[in-house]
Amino acid sequence: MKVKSLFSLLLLSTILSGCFNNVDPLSEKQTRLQEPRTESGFYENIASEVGQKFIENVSDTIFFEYNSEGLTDEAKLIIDSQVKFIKENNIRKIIIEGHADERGTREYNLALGEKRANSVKKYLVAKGVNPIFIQVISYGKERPLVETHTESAWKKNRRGVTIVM
Amino acid sequence: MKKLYLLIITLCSFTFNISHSEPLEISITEGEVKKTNIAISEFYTPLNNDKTADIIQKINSVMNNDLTSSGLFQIYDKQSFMQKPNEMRFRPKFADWRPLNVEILVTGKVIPIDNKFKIEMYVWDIIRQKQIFSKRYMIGGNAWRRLSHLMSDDIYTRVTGETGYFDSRVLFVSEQKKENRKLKKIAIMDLDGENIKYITDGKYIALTPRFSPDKKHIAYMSYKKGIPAVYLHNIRNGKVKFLGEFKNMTYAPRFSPDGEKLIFSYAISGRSNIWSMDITNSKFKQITNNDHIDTSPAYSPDGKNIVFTSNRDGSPQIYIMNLSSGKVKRLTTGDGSYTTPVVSPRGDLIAFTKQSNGKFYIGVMNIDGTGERLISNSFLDEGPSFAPNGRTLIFFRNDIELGKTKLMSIDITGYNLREIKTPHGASDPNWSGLNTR
Repeated sequence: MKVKSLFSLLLLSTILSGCFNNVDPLSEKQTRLQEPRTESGFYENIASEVGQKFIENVSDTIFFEYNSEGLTDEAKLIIDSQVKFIKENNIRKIIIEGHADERGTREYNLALGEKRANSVKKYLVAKGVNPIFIQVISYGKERPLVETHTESAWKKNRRGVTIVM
Repeated sequence: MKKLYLLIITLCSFTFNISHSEPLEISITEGEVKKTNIAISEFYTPLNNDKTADIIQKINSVMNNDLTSSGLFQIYDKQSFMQKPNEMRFRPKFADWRPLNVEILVTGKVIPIDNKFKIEMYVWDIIRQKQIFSKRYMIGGNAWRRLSHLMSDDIYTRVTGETGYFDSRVLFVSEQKKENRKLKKIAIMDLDGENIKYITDGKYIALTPRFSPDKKHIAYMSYKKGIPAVYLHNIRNGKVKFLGEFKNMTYAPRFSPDGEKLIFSYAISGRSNIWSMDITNSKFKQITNNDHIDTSPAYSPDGKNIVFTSNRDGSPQIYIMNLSSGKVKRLTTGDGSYTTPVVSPRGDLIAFTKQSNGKFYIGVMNIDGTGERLISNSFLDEGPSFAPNGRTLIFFRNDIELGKTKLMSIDITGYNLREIKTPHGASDPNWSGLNTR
């Protein structure tokens, strides 16, 4: 067990250092990747090869309006590209994270994050992705992408993140 | 007698504009109180050894701190005391104390017996020149802290006519910054911030801890198994029960007043509804059923109703449901959104979080939704929990200038806002009932 997690950590760090060479180190994806993920137990997905390819080729994050789980046209376009990748690479495990900004109470935001993740899931399913491959998880306001307290930070924190394994 | 000492609370409210562009006005109510002047003498001991002297000093300091924190007492400065402890071992000289404006004087005796202490407390009415009450306690050497809280409670109760709450504990989420992340652990402490113990280790995010009425169990939500789920934790033996059988997220747990049921939210495919579980036989029951968000449920003290937050009418509002008839009534109608309702121990008030025009408020209203009063506000104030006597609330505030969440307490009148110090950031406070005496 320990060996396995050490191995994942090693993989993760290799991948992270690899990314630094290819991608702008200040991009949002980088911020997200550097965030430790033991809470979700998803170290492995980030370390997986196909997961890395997914992040490099399509956008994994969509954004929501305040207190809304509706998908914007822009979000739908992004999920369309995710669907294309998922089908082409025969992905069988997908995790969708739902997040909220800090302007809501903790429990309510957990519910909102769950609603958002399910909006993405429903769209994926409507586009032909098998629902049994998809797991949703809400982080409410517990895992903001940007820690500041401005309108632009809140915009980035109201998000759905697709992770493929 | 008691009547004379009842504190007179006057309410004054003032109004300010939230923003120049908005016509909305929100008034914050602030109470004002006439404090009782009290002098707490260090207790007298016939045996002058270091250990006894140390305990006497500690007891005095905890009692001073307790009574000050209530906001109802003005503690008289020790430097100006008219008599020494040994001069008052039988009876204080009232005439000496009277010019100081002291209303109540506390004296006492500490007598070590083997490894124990016999402690006597005397509370004197300086104006009427007589004893209000006296009490005798026997404690082991390590019990001085708890005894100090109990003595503070006794004084508070006799002077204000309401039950004291210093001998109580607080559950909360400790938020410790470590490198790039925040460790969120469930913790428990005495009301004055002492005796902190951590219930979870921070490996997984754990949130929203709540005491069972007998304080033997804690319910909380954790990401331990990936998806957020409610856990039941036995404080005494550390055993943890996972409310399994749910494929999706369960969260926002609270106990029923008889401690037999747990009420919580269960989210399926974007629908959050309220469920209850019988703790002894693990039988589940769905309580609400709609396509929106129903969460933050809380029982009324008689167990007959629940209050909760729902966005069924658009924005988050507070509703009350009669559990036998199933009838639901919306309680809040003001501007903004309303979340995290909790019912006072007497069942007459609801405290809540309100969000309006970019600010968060803690407020109270009558159980029928009338008489809304907002008592605190900041960038983020959230999650009130009542003191055992229903007179004070504890909540958390995100102080964005300090970059830290912290626990605050405030009287339901809006008086005596103060921080409850914790070693790290802290959120989601839940105030226990009184300890079993």
